[in-house]
Amino acid sequence: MTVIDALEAGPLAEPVVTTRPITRRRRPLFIVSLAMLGVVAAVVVVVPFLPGYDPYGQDLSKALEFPFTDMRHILGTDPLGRDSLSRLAIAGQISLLIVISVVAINFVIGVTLGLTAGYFGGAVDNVIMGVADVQLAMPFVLLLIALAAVLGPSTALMIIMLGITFWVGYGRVARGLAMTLREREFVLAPLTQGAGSVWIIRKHLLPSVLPNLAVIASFDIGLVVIAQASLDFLGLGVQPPTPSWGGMISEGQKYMQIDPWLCLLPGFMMFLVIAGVQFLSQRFTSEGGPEVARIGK
Amino acid sequence: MTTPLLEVNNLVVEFDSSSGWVKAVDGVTFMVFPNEVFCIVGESGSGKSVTMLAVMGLLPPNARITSGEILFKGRDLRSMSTAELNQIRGNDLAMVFQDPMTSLNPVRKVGSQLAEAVRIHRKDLTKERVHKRVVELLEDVGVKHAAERMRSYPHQWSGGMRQRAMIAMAMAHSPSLLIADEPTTALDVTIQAQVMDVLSEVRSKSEASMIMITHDMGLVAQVADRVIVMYAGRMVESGTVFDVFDHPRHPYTVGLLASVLNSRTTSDRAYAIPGSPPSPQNRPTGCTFNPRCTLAHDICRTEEPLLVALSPTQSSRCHFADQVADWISSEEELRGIEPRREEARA
Amino acid sequence: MARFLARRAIQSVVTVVVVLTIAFFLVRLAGKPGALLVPDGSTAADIDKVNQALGFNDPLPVQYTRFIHDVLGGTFGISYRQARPSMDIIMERLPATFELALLAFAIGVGLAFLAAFLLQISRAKWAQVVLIWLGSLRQAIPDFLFAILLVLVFSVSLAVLPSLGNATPQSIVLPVATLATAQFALYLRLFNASFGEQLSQDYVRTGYAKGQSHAQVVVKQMLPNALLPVLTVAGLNLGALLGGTVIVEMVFTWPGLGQVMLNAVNTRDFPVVQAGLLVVALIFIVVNLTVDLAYAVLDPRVRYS
Repeated sequence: MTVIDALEAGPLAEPVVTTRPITRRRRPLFIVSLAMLGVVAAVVVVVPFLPGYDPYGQDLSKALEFPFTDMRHILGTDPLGRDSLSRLAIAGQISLLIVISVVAINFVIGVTLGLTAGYFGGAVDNVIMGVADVQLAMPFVLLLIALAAVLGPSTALMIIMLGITFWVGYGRVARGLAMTLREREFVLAPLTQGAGSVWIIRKHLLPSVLPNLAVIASFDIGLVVIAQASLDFLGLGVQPPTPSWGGMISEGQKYMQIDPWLCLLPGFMMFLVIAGVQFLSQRFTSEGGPEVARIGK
Repeated sequence: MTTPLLEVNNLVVEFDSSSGWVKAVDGVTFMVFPNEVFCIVGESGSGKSVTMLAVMGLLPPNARITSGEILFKGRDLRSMSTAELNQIRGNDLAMVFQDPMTSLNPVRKVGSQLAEAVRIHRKDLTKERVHKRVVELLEDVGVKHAAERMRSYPHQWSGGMRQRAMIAMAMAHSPSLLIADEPTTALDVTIQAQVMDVLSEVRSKSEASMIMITHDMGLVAQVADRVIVMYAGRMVESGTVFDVFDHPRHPYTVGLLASVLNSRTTSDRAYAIPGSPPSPQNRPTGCTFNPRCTLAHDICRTEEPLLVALSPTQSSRCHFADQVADWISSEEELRGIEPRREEARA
Repeated sequence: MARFLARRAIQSVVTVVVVLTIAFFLVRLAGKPGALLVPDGSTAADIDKVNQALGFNDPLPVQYTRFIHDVLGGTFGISYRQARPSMDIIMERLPATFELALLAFAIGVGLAFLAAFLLQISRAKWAQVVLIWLGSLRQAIPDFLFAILLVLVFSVSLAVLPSLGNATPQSIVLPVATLATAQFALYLRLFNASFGEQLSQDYVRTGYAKGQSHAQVVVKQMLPNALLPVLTVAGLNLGALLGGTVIVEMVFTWPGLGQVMLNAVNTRDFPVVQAGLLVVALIFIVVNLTVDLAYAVLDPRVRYS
């Protein structure tokens, strides 16, 4: 099975993914992805400790500076004179915390529901699968936007809403695992069951489940970063004055003619995260490279 | 001496695996003559299918022919252009595959796929003529109500019928050489004999040669004229069917014979050669069969035996080929199998 | 096939009901609208009269029943801000959104299919690598960001294309380009993977064995089978397309459904939000059902089961 199967509507069908060794051909990609994520990590983690770090201090005399023009604001300033690099850093921290929280919630919900569906089977399985189907068939993100409008936008709300959106991928994998476990119990002889099942789980099931979950997680991270940034951009996520990459781009949109860097810098950071994670995950997907017919003559 | 229909000389086929290129076929040489049935026998992984896929030019993208010569009616298949090869394939040289369910396109009607096979090499025929030919072909393989049935899809046909369709497709242009890769393995036991009958009949009527790949010595006994036995990518024995069944000269062949269940077997236990074939990455040193061989001596672990001709028709790749004869007479089970076609079906 | 369709039909009905219910509760969650609708200086009693008139003081089950009844009768409430039926407002703007979405879909998917098909026939591996890489890069950029990049290049720097509204015929170029490139990237990957899967199929091998050329094998054996899996995924992704259209409309102030809904959200005009949600949900459901129907018809294994 490939990516296609993994994405197929067949609810909670399990993707099959293999762990490929990092051959020489794939190493450059791996290094590039690490570099990309490294840059983001450096900005988010290191910058706050540098002297001159000040995401909120306004100085209208120094507004809209371009990067590399002023040594005290190495990446320029925003319309209110605030240091762009500092704002990128703190926005990054917030974005990443949100993404991690959301992915964690997706994971927990997905694995719990998936294990339950797979283990109990029957009606329970059908109900959970049905819920997944219905959820996928709905314009869920739009509903979330409406909800944000009604209840008033907030970061906490966004985390919860996104948290319940993307659980299905994990659910499939967990369900497959649970169904395998269920079968095993009938196959193993009672005498060996104790040591047997643990060994089998460790040796056979986990090695196939973990890479699957890693792939799902990498898709998930990408989707969540994009969804969250979009909500921030629309003003329905992280609220000002707290900076967010999406929010910075939204503000920057008004100044595109004068200072495109206001949009480009946070955009670049987003790109580094999404692409970095995507490339990193290709270590695990079976969708390694394009396949072209070479069946001979 | 008649000119061989097919000549394979020192064919080496390699696969790209996680540990580099490994040999699936390691220097195979044989000839097939007109109007004969030639069997290639061996367990899974022996390289028998790969050999014939290489002949047809149907190796998957991760495999390549490293060296060797393939001559069909004197023409070098390896140096041909794709266009030239396409003129021969499905025409004078055809193949029937193991699993008819997956070998037929699931979203197209059976009739349409057969018609396609006809049209590729006879573009001059009208639609009606093609249609008639398809019905003829299906009737030849024993499909009743062919005109109606051909409008169905593969999943609506039974396994036996699907394989008949594959046979019909292969015979569409009366090939000189038909390759059958485990043609009955994927079928129900009850259907296997029927389909095998169809295949034999169709072949002998057209006087084509057939190369049949199988792991079933019983089947070999039924149809073969000449046999080669493959193990771990190499030929370990070759000869006429009587050579191989009456006086096998390789311990592996003996093992294969012993593992056939047949009404004349005296033993009450089923025999299977202990162990399993080595993976291409892990071939033993010396004779590749030595870990599983009851006759193995020290030399077998260190020195690779060469394929040696023991008679004008028979060869064996074993240091102790002569001793195999003595060894067998002490194994009574083997006496049960004889290559007499009619009786073997009982 | 009948069972398959019956199941999908039931699912669709359930989805519609779920969406309706959520929409209902969303509006109720916002609180009674009386305070928003009365002129300044009104008393609490005035506010209460308005709420009473609009039916917001009735018990919840009654409100729900009335709501379902209204929906089935085609009434979706009156906009708080424009004193017109909210559904009219939605329907006015729908064509503009369809224009964007359908054009982007047609171009994106059409080109992706063509590209994947040609790549497979030509066996040009380097071209495949390049295109897939470009696609990956596009997919790593959120739609709104890509839209802004296009504006920066084509409107701000080069000044060749407009960036706002739909006044001129060229206005549609950038919005469609944003969406179409995303569709292209996604479907190129899908078609490519689907064709790639075909390579290892036995019936493709049979095609070659019959003496078919590579081009013939691609068209006759691979093509019909390569389309089906992508069709399945397409249903799901059309939802994402609609979501993307909404956001792109924001960036370009394209007067479509997305703009209307976001305005309604910001001005707390909940009947419009409700109507909008329902329309979008219905589109979703109809599209998904159509895709499933198409699949059932096109795949003989489902058609004759």
